[in-house]
Amino acid sequence: MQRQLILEPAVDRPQRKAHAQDAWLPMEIELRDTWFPLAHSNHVGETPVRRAMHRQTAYLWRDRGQAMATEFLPGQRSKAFSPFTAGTGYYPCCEYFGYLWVWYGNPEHADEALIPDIPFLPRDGVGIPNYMRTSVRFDGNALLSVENLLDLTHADFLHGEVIGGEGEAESDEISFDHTSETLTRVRHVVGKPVSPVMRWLGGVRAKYQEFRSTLHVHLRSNVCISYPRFRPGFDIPNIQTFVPSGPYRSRVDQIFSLGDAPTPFRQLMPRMAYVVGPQDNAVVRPQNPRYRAAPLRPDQHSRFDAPGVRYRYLMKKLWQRQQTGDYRYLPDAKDASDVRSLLGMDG
Amino acid sequence: MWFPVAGSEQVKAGEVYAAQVGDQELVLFRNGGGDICVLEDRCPHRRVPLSLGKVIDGQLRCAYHGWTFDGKDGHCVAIPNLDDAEHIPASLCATAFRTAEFAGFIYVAVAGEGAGDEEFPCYPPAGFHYEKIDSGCAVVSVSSQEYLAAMLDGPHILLAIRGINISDFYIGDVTREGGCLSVDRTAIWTLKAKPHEKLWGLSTLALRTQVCPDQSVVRLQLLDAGEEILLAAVIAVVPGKRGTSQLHWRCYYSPNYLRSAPRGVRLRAARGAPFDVFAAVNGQRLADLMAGPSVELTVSGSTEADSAPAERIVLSDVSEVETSPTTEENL
Ligand code: FES
Ligand SMILES: [Fe+2]
Repeated sequence: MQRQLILEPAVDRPQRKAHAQDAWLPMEIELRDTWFPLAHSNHVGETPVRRAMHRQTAYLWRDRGQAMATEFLPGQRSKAFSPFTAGTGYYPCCEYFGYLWVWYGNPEHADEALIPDIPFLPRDGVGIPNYMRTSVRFDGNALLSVENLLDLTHADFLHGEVIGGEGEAESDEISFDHTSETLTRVRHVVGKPVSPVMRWLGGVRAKYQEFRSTLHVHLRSNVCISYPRFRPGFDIPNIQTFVPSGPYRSRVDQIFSLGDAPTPFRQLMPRMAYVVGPQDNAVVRPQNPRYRAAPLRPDQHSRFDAPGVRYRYLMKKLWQRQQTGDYRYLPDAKDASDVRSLLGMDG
Repeated sequence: MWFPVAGSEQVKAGEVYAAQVGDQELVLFRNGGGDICVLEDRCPHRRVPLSLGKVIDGQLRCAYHGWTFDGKDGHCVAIPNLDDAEHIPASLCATAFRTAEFAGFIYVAVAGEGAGDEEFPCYPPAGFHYEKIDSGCAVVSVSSQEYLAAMLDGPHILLAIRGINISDFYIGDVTREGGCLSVDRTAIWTLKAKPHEKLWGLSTLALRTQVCPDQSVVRLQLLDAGEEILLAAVIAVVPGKRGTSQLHWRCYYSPNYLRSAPRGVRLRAARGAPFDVFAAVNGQRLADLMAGPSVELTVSGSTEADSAPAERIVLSDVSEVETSPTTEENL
């Protein structure tokens, strides 16, 4: 037994009481009845690949071209199967927008209309060039990565050299909106200094630009649709899937849509995910055990955390409903269906 | 009680140092005045280790969102992008721990045990004139308790003094002083690596090992025949996570250190640093180490040592044994 020592604080401060409503244990949240984009379609072939949705294992493979998601390896059907496949071993699955989507929940509720609309990608997934796809790992609970993406104040410190955080903008405003199923966050910056990357690779010669970045988060599946628009400049829409590979890891298969961007920015931008991703991972990874260990110790917030705090609230609400067996999509979920205008694509 | 956590050299100006005491993770750095600061290694904002951050103008800036903390009281003093007029509430703060630095070691105070100025356990012996200091640190996969026990029973598996063979021939019994246990053993100037149990006490040197379990500190002295100190060392054995121990040590050498060494030994031993604490403990040697003076650590809790005498086995029935029928009858 190792001895435990309690250390004396430098200043006497009344210990803040832990309130149940502050509790945040993302590892226990596991929302059902949703589609997970479990793999890039082009990563699935005759040889099965193994993926996970929370604690469920899924093998993805093709049978004469037809995509399959199963609880078993082809030719090895031995054990009893879970309620996620209604005991058949076959998960509901389908291919859209260049991904293989697999249903996580009661198979009877699987409805392709619930697949998020991604207006900047071809619905049939045809013609998405390989260089616009990336795959990144995150060594923390998927929800911690979604919080990371929602949050914008970290970019200057973590991604300064890529995003070019230096220099004051004229104005910088954050707003957000939500339904019971989605959270949409908008950042609007006027007079943002043009980043070196956009200047030298993207050919934007102006000194300052306007920047409007929208993030549309699907709460159940962690699918994040991101729409940054630069003027002068171009749009860099992209999709970030945070598929929970158990409670402690997540996997992101990104697709960028860079038809608007000039060469070589178009080819190089997706590669930046391999620089930015590990930078984010460097903080998410050590966060993970600390959220696991002390769910009741409250986090402190600044006013920049409002979207993140709302995200936790919405997630806990959904989770509480599901705990009571209520997996329904409420009528207000439809309010987010006009994604083009939500993302700021028309305008 | 002051508890050592690191050597002063580990915490350089402008840099962060991650330390731990048991499961408590700490970040150490120096403020603008060079004073040591100890914060919980956990940002109160989103829990990222503050040791991933940077020291900017003597304050610690978190790597994730740039919240910046004062090291003395833990207050958050800056949040990026706030307007100049915006005030940061006092409730935004990291946990700061009471700390002190003395004679090359950094200490934290143990709660409720009243850490006074006289209680720093790591220092060279009073009146010892030394000319040179070495220091070092390592993490070993042995718990602090086992490490301290092994220091009493077989320091030769934990450290080396060049040109000295440490025996396990104890000179007398364990002595106690204020909760610390001390034992002397013979040591020999030699370059041959003889098994330590074959070494015999014809030597003129003694190694004194003092173990203070409360503060988890070991003090060593190498004494010559006249009991003059040739070398003195202090090792702080800081309990770490998963049963590991972090060792922070300092060794002080007398100008006469090699005077009594035979000529051949002196020439060889003069090269390089003579004192070394092993960064890895050989598991087999540790398992094979026979219990010796360390039993005194468990016989009575060191904190009660002064009030309660060590428990002794009492042979109450001695007389009966002596008078009972003996061997002849059985033969
Ligand atoms: S986690 Fe430290 S500033 Fe946000
Ligand atoms: Fe990021």
